[in-house]
Amino acid sequence: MNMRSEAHDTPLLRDGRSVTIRSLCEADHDAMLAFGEQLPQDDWIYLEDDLHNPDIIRRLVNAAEAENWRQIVAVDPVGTVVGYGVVRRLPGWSNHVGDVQLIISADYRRSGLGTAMGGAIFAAARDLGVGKVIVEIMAEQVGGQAIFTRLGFAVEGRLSAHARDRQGHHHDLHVLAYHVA
Amino acid sequence: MTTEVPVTSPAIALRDGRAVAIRALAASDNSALQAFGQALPDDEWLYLQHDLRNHESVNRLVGARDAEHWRQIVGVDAEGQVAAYGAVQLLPGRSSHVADIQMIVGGNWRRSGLGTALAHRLVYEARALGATKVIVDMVDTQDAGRSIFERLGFREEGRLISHARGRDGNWYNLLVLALVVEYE
Repeated sequence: MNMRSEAHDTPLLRDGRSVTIRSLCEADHDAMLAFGEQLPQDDWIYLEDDLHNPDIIRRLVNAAEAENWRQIVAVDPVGTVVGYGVVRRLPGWSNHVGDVQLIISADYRRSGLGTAMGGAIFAAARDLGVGKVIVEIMAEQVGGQAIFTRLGFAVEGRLSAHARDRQGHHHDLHVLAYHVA
Repeated sequence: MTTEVPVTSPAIALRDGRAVAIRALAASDNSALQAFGQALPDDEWLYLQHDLRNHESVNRLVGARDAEHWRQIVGVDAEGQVAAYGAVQLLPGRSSHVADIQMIVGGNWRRSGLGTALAHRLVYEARALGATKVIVDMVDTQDAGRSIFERLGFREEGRLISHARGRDGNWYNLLVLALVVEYE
C-alpha cells in the first residue's frame, strides 16, 4: 500500500559507511525528532522548517503521503535519520516547479551523502511530475550551495535581504534551479 | 450580506484627461471587477496569477478584501467601472517582511499614467503592511509593466527560467523585480 516507503538506494559512502535512502514514513517520527534535535545551531538558524520544533516534525511526518510533496530520509543501519530532503510542488502558474530542501547531519557531511540524496530528490521530482526544481538557500550556506552546484543547479536569482533567520537577521536568498525534464 | 460603501477617494487626473479614483477594493465592486476581468485582452489574461475571467476567482478576491496580510486596490472611473486592479500581500514564513505586488491595467487605460499611479499606491500599502522589501513577479515579455516598476526604483533580482505556465500552456520566464523600502 505504501509504495513510497520502499527503499530507493543503499549507497556506500566515501568513508565506508552505508545508509539507506528511502521515502519518509510515519514510523520515522521519533527518529526525525532526534535528527532535528541534534542539528547544529548554525544550520538550525537558516532552516525554513524549524526541525527543533516537535509540532513541525509531526506536521512533516503526517504529510508523508501528501499528494504534492515527496519526502525522503537517509537512515543508518541502526535506524538513525542522518539526512532529510523534500520536494514540494509550487502552487498556481508554477505548479510544474518543485521546491527542494535538503539537510544532512553534521557528521555525514563531505561523505557523498548529499550527492546521493540529490539523486533521490531528482527521482522524487520526476515521480511528482515536476519539470524543474529550485532550492532557495541563504547566501551564507556555501556548503549547501556547493552540493547543488555539483548536482548541476544554476543560480537564477539573488534576492537581497529576502529571508530572516531565527535570530531576526536578514540574509540574501539565492535561487538555484535545475531543469529535470 | 454587507452594505459596505466604498471610501471615496479624490480622483487623480491622468495624462489623457480622464480621471480615476484609486481606492481599496469594496464588496460593491464585485460586478465591476467581474466585468473588468471579462474585458481583459488575451495577451494579459494569459499571464495573470488570478484568473479574473473566472467568477469564482473574483468572488474569492472580493471575499478576501479584509484579509490581514493583503491589500487589494482598484482604479475606478467616474461611472464606477474598474480600470485597474492591484494587490499586495506579505509572503509567508521567513520572508514575512517581503510584500509581493500584482497589478493589471485595463486595455484602454494603458499609457495613461494609471499603472504608475497604482504601482505607487501599492508600494505605499506594502509599507503600511510593515514590509521592508517589495517584489513584483512578471513574465519577461511584459515590457510596459517592467518599465513602470523600474521607474519606481525596482531592480531585477532574478530571472527564473520557464517558471510560469501561461493559460496558453506555454512556459514563460519570470522576472523578479525588487525594491527595498526601508532599512531596519
